Amino acid sequence: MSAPPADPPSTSRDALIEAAITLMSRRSPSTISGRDLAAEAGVNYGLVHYYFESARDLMAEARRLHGDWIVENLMDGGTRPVDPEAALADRRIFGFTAHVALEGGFWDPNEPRPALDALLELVRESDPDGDPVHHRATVAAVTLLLLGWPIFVEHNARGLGLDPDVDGEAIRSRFLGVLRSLYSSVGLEVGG
Amino acid sequence: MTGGVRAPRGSDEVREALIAAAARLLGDAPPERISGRRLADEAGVNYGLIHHYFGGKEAVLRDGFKRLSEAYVAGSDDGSWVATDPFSMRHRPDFLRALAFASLSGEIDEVHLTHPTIDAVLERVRPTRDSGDETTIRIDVGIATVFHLSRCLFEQVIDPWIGYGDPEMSEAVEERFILILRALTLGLDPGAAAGGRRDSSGGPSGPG
Repeated sequence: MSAPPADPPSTSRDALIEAAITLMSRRSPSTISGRDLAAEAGVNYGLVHYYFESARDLMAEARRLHGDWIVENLMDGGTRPVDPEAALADRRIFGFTAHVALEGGFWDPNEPRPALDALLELVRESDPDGDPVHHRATVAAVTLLLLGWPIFVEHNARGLGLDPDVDGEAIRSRFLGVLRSLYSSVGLEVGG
Repeated sequence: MTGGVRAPRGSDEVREALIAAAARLLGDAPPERISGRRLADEAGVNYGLIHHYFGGKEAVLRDGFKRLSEAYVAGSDDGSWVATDPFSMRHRPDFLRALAFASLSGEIDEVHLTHPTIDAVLERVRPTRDSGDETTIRIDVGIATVFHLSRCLFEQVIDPWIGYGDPEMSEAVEERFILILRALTLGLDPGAAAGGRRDSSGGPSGPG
């Protein structure tokens, strides 16, 4: 049985979505043009408007797909939590989400949040008789810590008179301990 | 900002107009993307005055940051919130956004600021920590501050999911967030706090 021939148009479309995720992890959607997206994807500029109404429409599609993208690529299809070390190092998680949050009117509050749902499902499986408030608070707190850490830690450390060169290991280890404590309170283990 | 309004004149007015303009613009873009011309336009002053009074746009932006930080520390005019309240930064989205933009673009070095309420928090926390060296106490306050800022920055992204249309769940989780913030600040067990326990001890599972 031979594989169906690759469909070049859909490959270009995927490349544009990937490009949007990459660029939005670096800067605000309002500063990203269709030409930027085409150049990042390595496709012809005309394809942006072939597949999407506008560059903004393409980026909105990337935003809608971002949660599924995290579940597929970083949670093994929803079978395990995101590895903390990987999340903290990946701008496509915290940078992307921050730039979306900072862009007014770019977020639909009623959209599903597949990555949060997937983590909540893992928590429920691991702690079936647990308190639903505890479950939701834990998923949200872990997510907020993973998103906020790479953005704010340096500023805070310096504000506290800590030297990242000297205290970096202690800071990191204490932070990973916090994540372990939250996860283990609902019976999950992460990050080794 | 210029239409129909008299242009600022004299040292004090020009300086004030530029600092206020910087404070407004820093909430909408990383410092690197705020040009001197944009600052001058926003302030309604001649571009050359930036160099005359500040030596360059960096100094204006630094003072703009300082202005935002001071407004946050001052709390609300009507006393409805103070900076040491849990998640108080939600009341100053301008400062929070400026911090986020500067951090995301890697320019927090340039602005070189300290978190304005950290000393107050440290003063409050130290007497409650019977063990733990000063570095650990500071690290814990730093982790709590990250949680505080992140909770405010991502409020609109995360909260609809937390509540999923159920106001009781939103309120219950918000109470847990306050317990978690307290546990992080005091070096207590955040997992127990997420479970609703107020007097958890033992701290997060130790290093290593």
